[in-house]
Amino acid sequence: MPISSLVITLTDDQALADSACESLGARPEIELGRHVANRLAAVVDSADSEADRETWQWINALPGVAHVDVVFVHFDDPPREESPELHAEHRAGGVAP
Amino acid sequence: MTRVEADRRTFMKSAAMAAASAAVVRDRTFALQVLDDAPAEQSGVRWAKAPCRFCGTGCHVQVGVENGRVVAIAGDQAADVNKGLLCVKGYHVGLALYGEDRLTRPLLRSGDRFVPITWDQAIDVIADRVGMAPERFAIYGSGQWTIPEGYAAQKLMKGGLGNNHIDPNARLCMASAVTGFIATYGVDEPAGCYQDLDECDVLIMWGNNPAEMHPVLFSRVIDRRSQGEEVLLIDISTRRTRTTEHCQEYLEMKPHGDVAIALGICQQLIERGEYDESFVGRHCSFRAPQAENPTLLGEPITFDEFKSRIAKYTPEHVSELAGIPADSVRRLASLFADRSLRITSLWCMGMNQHTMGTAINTLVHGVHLLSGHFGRPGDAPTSLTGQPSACGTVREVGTLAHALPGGRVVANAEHRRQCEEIWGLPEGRINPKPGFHTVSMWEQFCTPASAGGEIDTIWVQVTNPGQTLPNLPKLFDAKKGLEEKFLIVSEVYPTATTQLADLILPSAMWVEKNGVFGNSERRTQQWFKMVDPPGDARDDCWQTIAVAHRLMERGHEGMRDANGRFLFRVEDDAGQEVPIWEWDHYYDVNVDRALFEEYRAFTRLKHKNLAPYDEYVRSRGMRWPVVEQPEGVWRETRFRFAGFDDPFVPEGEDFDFYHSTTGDGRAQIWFHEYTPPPEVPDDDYPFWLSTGRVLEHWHTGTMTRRIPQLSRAMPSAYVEMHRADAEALDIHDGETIAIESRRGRLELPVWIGGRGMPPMGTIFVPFFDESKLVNLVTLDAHDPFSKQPDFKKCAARVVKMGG
Ligand code: SF4
Repeated sequence: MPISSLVITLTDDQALADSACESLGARPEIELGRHVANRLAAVVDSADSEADRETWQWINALPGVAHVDVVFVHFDDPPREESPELHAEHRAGGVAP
Repeated sequence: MTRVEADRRTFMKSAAMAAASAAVVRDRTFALQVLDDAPAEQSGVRWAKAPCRFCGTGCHVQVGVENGRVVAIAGDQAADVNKGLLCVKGYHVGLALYGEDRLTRPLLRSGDRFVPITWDQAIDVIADRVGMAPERFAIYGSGQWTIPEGYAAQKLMKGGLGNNHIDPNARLCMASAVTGFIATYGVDEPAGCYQDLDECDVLIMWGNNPAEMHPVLFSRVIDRRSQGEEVLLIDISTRRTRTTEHCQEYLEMKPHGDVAIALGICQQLIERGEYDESFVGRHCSFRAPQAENPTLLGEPITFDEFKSRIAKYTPEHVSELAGIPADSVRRLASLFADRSLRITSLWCMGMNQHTMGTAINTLVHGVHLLSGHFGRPGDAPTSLTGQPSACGTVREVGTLAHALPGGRVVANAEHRRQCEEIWGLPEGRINPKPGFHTVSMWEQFCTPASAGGEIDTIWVQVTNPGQTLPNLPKLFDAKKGLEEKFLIVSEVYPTATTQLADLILPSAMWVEKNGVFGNSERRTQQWFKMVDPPGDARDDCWQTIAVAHRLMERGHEGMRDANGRFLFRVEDDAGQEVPIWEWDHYYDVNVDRALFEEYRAFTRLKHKNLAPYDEYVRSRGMRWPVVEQPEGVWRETRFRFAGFDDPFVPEGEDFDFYHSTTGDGRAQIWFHEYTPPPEVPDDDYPFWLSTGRVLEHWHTGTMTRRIPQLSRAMPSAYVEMHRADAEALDIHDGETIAIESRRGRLELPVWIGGRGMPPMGTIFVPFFDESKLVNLVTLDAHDPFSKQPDFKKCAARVVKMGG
């Protein structure tokens, strides 16, 4: 259940930036913090790493968002998975138990 | 969730919000150590500083550790580099430790399988291989080596074995930047620093995509704009990238067009009489390569010769060569002609992975020198590195086949004497002949001994050549079936390289060990071990020292100094030798501190002075030269060669290039003739193929592909192509196609209109995916001076499958 905090830089286009703020504020897993000039603080509290990734991608793709920096992340649970295609050949080569 | 857990979560959220809010208002006093004071049920997390494990930006993170595991990462608000911010990779850096398939035991190949062996056996195997033929042994290292790790490997090879066959993966990423700096200033590494990004009026990115490759640095510039500052961003590139989206001007050039553009700017500055005559007259000389056997010293030419050689690079001619409008060349020249502006040039692999890499590096320096855009904050030619310690460990420690620590070279008798003196070696121990550079090292290894191959054993540490070498069929895969060849790989995860290994050594990584890195802006950064490595994984530095000691036990005299003492002797406070070659005693003393203090003695020759180790413990890194002030304070240097900041510029001088190759305090403005790329598209292979990186993955993806968030965000490699090219070949978005070159073939899906947008006739493939190795098709042609291969351009064709 990762918790991360972000600094979101909004675009110069004020209308787009306002609409981005509105969309961000509507997501239950995102809590918005201080907003100074184009920079907006946000905390994302996700159910799991997949949800965290989806939220991250969604924010990055949101019209009105120019750039996203990360400030803090807390991940209670280390990953228990890896890309299935990774090292298939290596495993086929086999490591003796 | 229990109440305690809920409280803890609420507390973490408020800490996260406090950190973000501090970053938004740029409050540099905010410290996460406040969490240390929180009640234990809310936070048992203990925080310590470290540089990020990934790119050469060198962001500082605060690492949160609880119950022996890294559980949190935060940008370090006290760090000048990143001011509390991180990119998506830095944010996940802690998870890179915890992929499920960490290597935890030494493994020896037995036929098609690997069998676990003890460390003692593994050290014996390496000592056997080295002892068999020390001159046929090589080490292939890394810009991810810590400074002490690289220094130990360097000392083992050059000081112990008298063998110069040690070269790093950094040969593949920044060797041309090194030769460019040396040819221009007589000494390596940028004169400026990241402050240039905060103060420039114009930022020109030469084949550079910092929005994805150095995102935190790019965010410094974007942040300035968000505060209402005017900064003109110009992207000169062969394809549109995320960086382009932020730039006011985009110049799409043909491959190798950068050389022509730089020549064209110089031509215009001179033709229009707008170069900085005063700066050039006082601080510069002109130079060109010798017609025969060219070297980095070149030969002197007069200003008039320079002017006449450059005269043909008119905007119209440059337009033909580079494919950008002639007026754009004039426009760039006008910017450089304006002394009221501050202009920073930024580059990385685009200019370095280039068969004219040294030439284009010197030419961009030349544009700045000729126009006098040098030496004021914001007025600088600045190269970036891709790896966290390419500067610290490779360029400064000198872990290259021709180099010795501190900017020395093996071919120089006085340099060898100095190293032998500092290392306490008998005279003549260091071999004067440069060893094999990366491409030739692997060529020798992949050539049977019976056919003249001169390297039998390579020990790879902290890198993945089975994925990153160019032309893999020739330089890596050809090892298969060569019985006399033996590949040793120290690694943290199984990789494309371990697949061909004969011996695999499990290594500790990042905060599982002590370390020191040196980032792109000359900043030396220290951290302490925070958690234990898994299983039987051990520090690379220990592995090197253990092998050295085993060789000494077997009577190898090279492992002793002139007084008969072990090459890596470390003493405790009572003056007793600590047996650091035994793992149980390795952390009885701080081996990093001992090696670093020894290494410091090398750094003064080229004025790259370092402070004592303990100063770096206290700081968020310091930029060399670091010089002690009368009051005992250690002062770093932001701008080299400039009188207002560099302590080695004589009082009253505005500039002094004190390592000038001409010995007169002048920098060199080079002329290089434009030459076409070694392979260009033709009827058989009609596309330009370029390779590179993506935001989510760091280099070969061995760490980032094990982080589910990053892996899912960018699961596999792809080929970017222009929509019109795809339509002409009846290829659809997502369709799997084949790319073929004269060297190999690769199948992968097409991405049209994706993140990067190549022009018609160009395709792009990232190299992070070990299941889709683009280096099966790349070219191993390299720059004649730096020996750095050109991964950015070769000819290829696109084949529709089943068509
Ligand atoms: S920019 Fe580089 S050093 Fe900074 S957080 Fe990202 S990967 Fe790490």
